[in-house]
Amino acid sequence: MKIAKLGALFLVSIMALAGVGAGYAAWTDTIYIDGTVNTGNVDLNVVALSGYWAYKLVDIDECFEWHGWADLETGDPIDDIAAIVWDQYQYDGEILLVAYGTAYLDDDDEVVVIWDELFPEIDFVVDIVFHYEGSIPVKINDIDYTFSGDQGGNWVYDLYNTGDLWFDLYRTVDPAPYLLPGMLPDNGYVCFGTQLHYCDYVKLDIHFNIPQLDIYMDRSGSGSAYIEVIQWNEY
Amino acid sequence: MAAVFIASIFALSGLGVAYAAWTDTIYIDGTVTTGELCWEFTNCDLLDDEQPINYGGDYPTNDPDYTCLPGFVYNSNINPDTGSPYGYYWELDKNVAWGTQEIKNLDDDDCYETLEVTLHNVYPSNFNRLSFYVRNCGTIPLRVDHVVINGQVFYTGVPQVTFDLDGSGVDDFEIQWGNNWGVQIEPGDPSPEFSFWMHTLQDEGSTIQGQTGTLTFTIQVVCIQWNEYPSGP
Repeated sequence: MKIAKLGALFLVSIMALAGVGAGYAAWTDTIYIDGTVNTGNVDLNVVALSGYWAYKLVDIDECFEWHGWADLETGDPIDDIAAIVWDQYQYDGEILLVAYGTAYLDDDDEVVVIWDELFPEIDFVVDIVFHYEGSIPVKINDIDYTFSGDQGGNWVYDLYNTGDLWFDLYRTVDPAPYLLPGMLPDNGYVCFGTQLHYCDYVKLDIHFNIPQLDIYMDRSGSGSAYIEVIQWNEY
Repeated sequence: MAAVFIASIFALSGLGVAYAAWTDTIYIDGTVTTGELCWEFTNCDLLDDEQPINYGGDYPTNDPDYTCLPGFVYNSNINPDTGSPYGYYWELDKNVAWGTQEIKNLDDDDCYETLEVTLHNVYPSNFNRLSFYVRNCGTIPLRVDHVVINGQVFYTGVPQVTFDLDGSGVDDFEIQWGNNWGVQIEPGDPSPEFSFWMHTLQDEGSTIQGQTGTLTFTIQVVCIQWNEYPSGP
């Protein structure tokens, strides 16, 4: 009869627990997921600029031309022109800057190019080296440009049409080890749809030649351009 | 009752339908100015620019005319008045002819690019000399490249050119240009002195005879950007 009493006790207990369970929190256990999302980026930057300077070595009547790297902030040549002239000509007299083309960074994404007092028979080339530093591959999505000129006409655009103002855009390599911009290799044409990956380098050469015509004397003009890259899967 | 957790998962691809693609853009702003090759006259002087007071000439005079030999040949004969050789040109004893010059800006820019020289009342053997200075009014160093005298182009030497200015078929005038080829002038700087000689010839068939002798001519002096000198022979 004890067993019967024990069974009765268990039954009562179970019922009690079940009754209590209606108001008693269920046993739980939790695992946590902590998530961190790092977004990639699309980031094209200018890492090097070059200029072209035409000097006259006054005392010996020589024309000295220099295509070299430019200071990113000022556009000034980073090379010691006087020393270079001495190496080539053993000349330490007056050096007169006659004309030049150069560029500098106005902010991270804006390059200002200046061509000043240009004259014929010299290719005033300005180079811009881009470095793709984004983590997401991109493609060249858009390239556009506009020109304007003085005296009621668009002589700058006219020179673009005649091929006296032209551009080369091509893959290249890290410019840091190269003493001169002209030494950078041309590793292939870049155009719309070209894909760029992290640490790819692209070089834009802008050539400006003034024709040997008097109508181009004492003129002024301007232009603007942009290069847009887009995440590769949205091209 | 057990708590029920409902987890919602949002499809990223569903959001992507309205999500703009990431882009980055580099802007390039450029300006350009071109230089200018420009030179202009600054000072000019004629050896004989004194008009006689009297119509037909002054004698005696303190401003005599000059003369020379044809071809501007050096006359080594001794001038009895001076005791020295006559030289390339020498004084006469009257003031009959004279010259005038005027610097002009004919193309309405800021440079005086034209020098008009007029010789008045000249006669055979009359000599005059024009000296002038120019200035580089541009931004590019320049050099004297060539001269065009009566349609003939000269790049070197001491050009001597004869003219038939009255169209009679016989030369009645000659010029000798000084040697200043390749003279370089920096922007803003003046030149050394340039000069040329003028001589009226003995044109027997000239229609000038019996008329007031007034001759005009044109000479083009061409400079070139210094790094392209010379452009010709």
